[in-house]
Amino acid sequence: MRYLITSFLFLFSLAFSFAQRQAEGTVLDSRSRQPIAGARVSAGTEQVEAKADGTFSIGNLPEKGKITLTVSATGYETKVFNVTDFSGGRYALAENTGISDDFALMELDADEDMGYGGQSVGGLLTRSEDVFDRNAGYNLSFAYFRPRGYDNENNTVYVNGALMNDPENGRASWSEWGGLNDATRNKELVSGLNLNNFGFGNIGGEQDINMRATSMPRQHKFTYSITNRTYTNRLMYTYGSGLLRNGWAFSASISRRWGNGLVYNPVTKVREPGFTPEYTRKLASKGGVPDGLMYDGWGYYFSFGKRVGRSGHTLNFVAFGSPTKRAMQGGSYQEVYDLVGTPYYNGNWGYQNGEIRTARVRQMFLPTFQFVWDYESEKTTVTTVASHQFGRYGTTALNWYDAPDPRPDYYRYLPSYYEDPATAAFIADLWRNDPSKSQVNWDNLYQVNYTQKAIGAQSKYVIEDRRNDVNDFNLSSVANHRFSDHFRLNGGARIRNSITRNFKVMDDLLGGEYWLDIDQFAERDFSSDAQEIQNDLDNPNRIIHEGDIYGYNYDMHLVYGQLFALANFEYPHWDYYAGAELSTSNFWRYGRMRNGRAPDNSKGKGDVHSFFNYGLKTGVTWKINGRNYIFANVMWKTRAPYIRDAYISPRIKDQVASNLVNEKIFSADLNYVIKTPVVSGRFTLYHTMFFDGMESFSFYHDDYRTFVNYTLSNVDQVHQGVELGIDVKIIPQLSATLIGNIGNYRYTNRPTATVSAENGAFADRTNTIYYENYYVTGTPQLAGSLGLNYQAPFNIYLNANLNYVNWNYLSMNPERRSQAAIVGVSQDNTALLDAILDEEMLQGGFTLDISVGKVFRFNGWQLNLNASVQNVTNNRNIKTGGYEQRRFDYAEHDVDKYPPRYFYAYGTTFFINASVRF
Amino acid sequence: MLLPALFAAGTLAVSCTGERDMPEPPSTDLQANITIEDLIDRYRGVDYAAIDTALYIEGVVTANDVAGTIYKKIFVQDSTAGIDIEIEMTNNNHKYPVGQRLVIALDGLAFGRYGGQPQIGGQGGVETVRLYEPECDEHFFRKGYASSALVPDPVVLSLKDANSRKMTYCGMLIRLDSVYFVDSGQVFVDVSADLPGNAQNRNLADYRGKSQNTLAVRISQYATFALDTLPGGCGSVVGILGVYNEDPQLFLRDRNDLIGFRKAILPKETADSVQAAGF
Repeated sequence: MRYLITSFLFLFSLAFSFAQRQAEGTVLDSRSRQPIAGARVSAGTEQVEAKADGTFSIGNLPEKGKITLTVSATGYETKVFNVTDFSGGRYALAENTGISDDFALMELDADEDMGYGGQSVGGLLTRSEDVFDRNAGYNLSFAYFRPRGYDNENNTVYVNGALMNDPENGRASWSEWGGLNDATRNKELVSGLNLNNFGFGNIGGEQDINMRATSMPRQHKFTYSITNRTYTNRLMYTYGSGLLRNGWAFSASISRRWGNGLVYNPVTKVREPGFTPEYTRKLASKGGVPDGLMYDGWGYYFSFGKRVGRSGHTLNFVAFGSPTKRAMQGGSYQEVYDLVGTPYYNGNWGYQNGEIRTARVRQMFLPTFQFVWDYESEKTTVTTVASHQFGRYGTTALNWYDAPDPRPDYYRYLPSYYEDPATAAFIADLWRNDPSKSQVNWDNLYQVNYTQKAIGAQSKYVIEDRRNDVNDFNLSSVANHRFSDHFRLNGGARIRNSITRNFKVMDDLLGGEYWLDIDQFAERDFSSDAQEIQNDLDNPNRIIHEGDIYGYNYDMHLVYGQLFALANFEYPHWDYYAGAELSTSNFWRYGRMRNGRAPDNSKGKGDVHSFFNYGLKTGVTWKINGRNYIFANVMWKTRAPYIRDAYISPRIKDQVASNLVNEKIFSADLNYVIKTPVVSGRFTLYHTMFFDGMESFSFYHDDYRTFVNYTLSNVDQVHQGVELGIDVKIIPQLSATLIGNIGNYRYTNRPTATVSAENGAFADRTNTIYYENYYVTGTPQLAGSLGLNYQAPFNIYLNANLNYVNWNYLSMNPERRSQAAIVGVSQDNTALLDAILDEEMLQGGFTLDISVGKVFRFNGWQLNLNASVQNVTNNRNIKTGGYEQRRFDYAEHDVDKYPPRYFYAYGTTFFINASVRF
Repeated sequence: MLLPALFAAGTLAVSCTGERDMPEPPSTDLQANITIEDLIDRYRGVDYAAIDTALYIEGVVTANDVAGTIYKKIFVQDSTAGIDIEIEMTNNNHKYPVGQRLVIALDGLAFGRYGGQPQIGGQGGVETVRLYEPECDEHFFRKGYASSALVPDPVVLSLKDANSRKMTYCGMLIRLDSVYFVDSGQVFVDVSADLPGNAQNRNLADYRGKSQNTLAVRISQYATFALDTLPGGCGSVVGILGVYNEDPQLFLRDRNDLIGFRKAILPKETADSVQAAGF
């Protein structure tokens, strides 16, 4: 630290305090010549926003050389200008006719419990001005490319300044405002460690979505889209009053996305998931095509605000939410994919009376209400926001009691389970031709329950809704003040109080009478009258009906506070900044049931776990001239463990991992940026180290016949690599874009695993996982995209992108990298040792995307038509992810006994979009 | 032009690699306080004895059920002797591969003899019983990973010694050179015959005729090669020497324990040609 200060002082002494150069000008619409309010103007690392009349003033420019300004605005093509007039330049932007703004990104909803799934962060970056970020977010999202290999929680998302990352797992998500594309388009975004004006910064970047009515453009906009990606239809309407003369502004948006995704299979000529032609004919005679992917998502947004005279104060009220109900996709084994002839098999659905029904449905609605107060004067801006988000987040799943596993791809239902070839062939035939075998057999589940009901017994199969309902309150204030030409200070304070209610609800008894609230897995290990089998000891053997909470019920409380300050020093050739963050995280569990496996440690308020954290950050920019910049950032920060990882078996007991410590993160990057009207680009070298991280997942363990909660602690990783993004204008109408990332993301130590059985069958145990030098999994470490963009005559826009991904690894079962997994294997048997220990690199490959757009304008109306086709060549061999089963055949070391699950990138998909604006 | 150059330089900077991790070998602080030879001596003439003192033996697994020739037992050998460990586990070769060094805590186990063959098992009152897997986990401690390099070289015995000094080498890995199967050309195990003990004895004799002794190779009908043909010609045989009611017998571990035989069934050749082949 002392060294750091000394070096700062040294650098100061080098800086000469010349008068700074600045540029003033106006941003205009190239057609209408109307000013564009809120346009963003940047030079190097300096960025300003244009006022309501389109004017801006950007200072702190390099003293020497030509200056280039990057000008961008929502709905316009970003353009780089040479500054020729420093006091009254006019910067005209052409409206964006490409489709990227309205593009629907891939969303994967796999089983998050398995430690795999959630959302890729890529989608969060699509509107960045940075060549790399924008293209990576857009063109590589099909492969779940995550910039620099960071997990989602390393990106911070704010809406109007309010922190939106999930309080339990820290993940950023955009499904909370799904469908509100127009309302969320206006955002400030930085990637990596770069400095911003609204937060301290996170290692993966930060963004602030501006949904204030007073910032929304004046418009009516209707959009209709048809696609075969995750849904079929999308309809959106957005209204903005603009800032009225009396200072008021109103805006609203409503949208709906629905349909089953229409994923088209060119081989079977049906929508995916598809089957063999015979099978499809059979289904067709039943009057339906198997989709199984239901999607019904609404979105609403409403905001009004007032600019209070010339006082500089602006007040806004913002409300939004996206009630969404969608079927979940599931990955399966290669054997299943080969049997049904498609890698998009989804075993979550089946037929009930000839109708498709899916067992796994995510239903979420997290309405958010915000009150935003902005103050702006010549030297000071202050944004204060109070935000409240609450609502339901639940996913349904099958549960069963003393009955065969109802999931069709359970390994004992697969041909490979049978040693007798004739039986295996018979089973394989059923798989190919009988949907009652290859999909969930709802009719059978109902029959079983009817029989049970007739004898007064409980349902054997039910659908339960596993809920993580959030109630999150956020209050924050961030200020920027310019003290002098050379010194600017950003600072902020934030408090967050959130409660996540975790419980499950009986959703459907599937024709049965009732369900008994005991743990069937515990019942196998304890006698049927033992207290261990009770989920709720205060209400033993409770009879459960539909709508009842059962199984587990606990709240996770988080109280979080943060203070940060960043001092910026600006000189003609050099800028420096340094800042610090202090935060405190306090969490505890509040149990609402007394669990029979932990009678003294499950009900009521648990211990409060408090963590104090700090972050230090510094950086320097060398403004070589107005077109070339070099900048570097360094950050060291500590981070409290996430609630989701900290607790071991929170469903039954109040116990955290024994070695619960803060995670430590070091991150540094070195960047070179070039901005000329012909070439713009960035090259970055990054190096990030994580220390004492945690990973957790839970799964059903077939051998122990119980749910097992698995926690890895003391996980160290390194993420190092290079990023390149470059855009070259070959002729004014034609530009080429190249982006690339070469990463090396590795585990660097040997974490500790804690294994906990939910039925209490064995005491929690720990062992060492030998992860050193293994690759971090779940995202391609090598990725690139080469694009051509052509602005053709008659407002036609053409784009083609060739994308490549590789070096993606299958999510590992940590147990396979433990001593126990290889202890019975002779060192002579290197082939078997390698088979057990090696990581599987997933198949990568190329995809080609093409899009075309055209704009019609008449009488102040604008009609945009655009279409894109992703993966034109229908490459269906790219595996985007998957995971090794969390079980292992210790007895015979057969690595194929529990095969992994895989996810494949989609084949050819299309997206057609039409919008009218006036 | 600067950008591609930087990119190339950066690529080199991140191309550092490391060896894939390897789980540390298992270890124990326990050590032998008696050799296997001394242990057998200690119970000389005893057919069954429960062990209730803190005795530890240490040795390397020399044989298991990998090829089905040995059933529910493993053999462990130190520098002095070898002994049969009775385990109630099929497929024990996945748990105790050949070359695995083990320390066995004998306290709570029993020493016994079956047909004269010394063995370690559970305390069965009048005879040893096979140890269940949890008992093995409690009493057997691994030292390092298994490796064929740790397996002691077989003791080279003549047929005469194998008969006359059978109690000395009983339970040990031995090798017999220049022997042939008397029943060459037949299958290892004739499953159509009535087989007491589900195994068949196939006699080895001295190829050079120097010794009149023979030695029975006892082959289980469950051996993976039970239906193969007994090889012809002369060769070496490796295996565990056992005794059964005063008779020595040899247990092969797998088919590879037959070295240098001919696959084809050929007429018996002269000793000269065998000599020429280097025997």
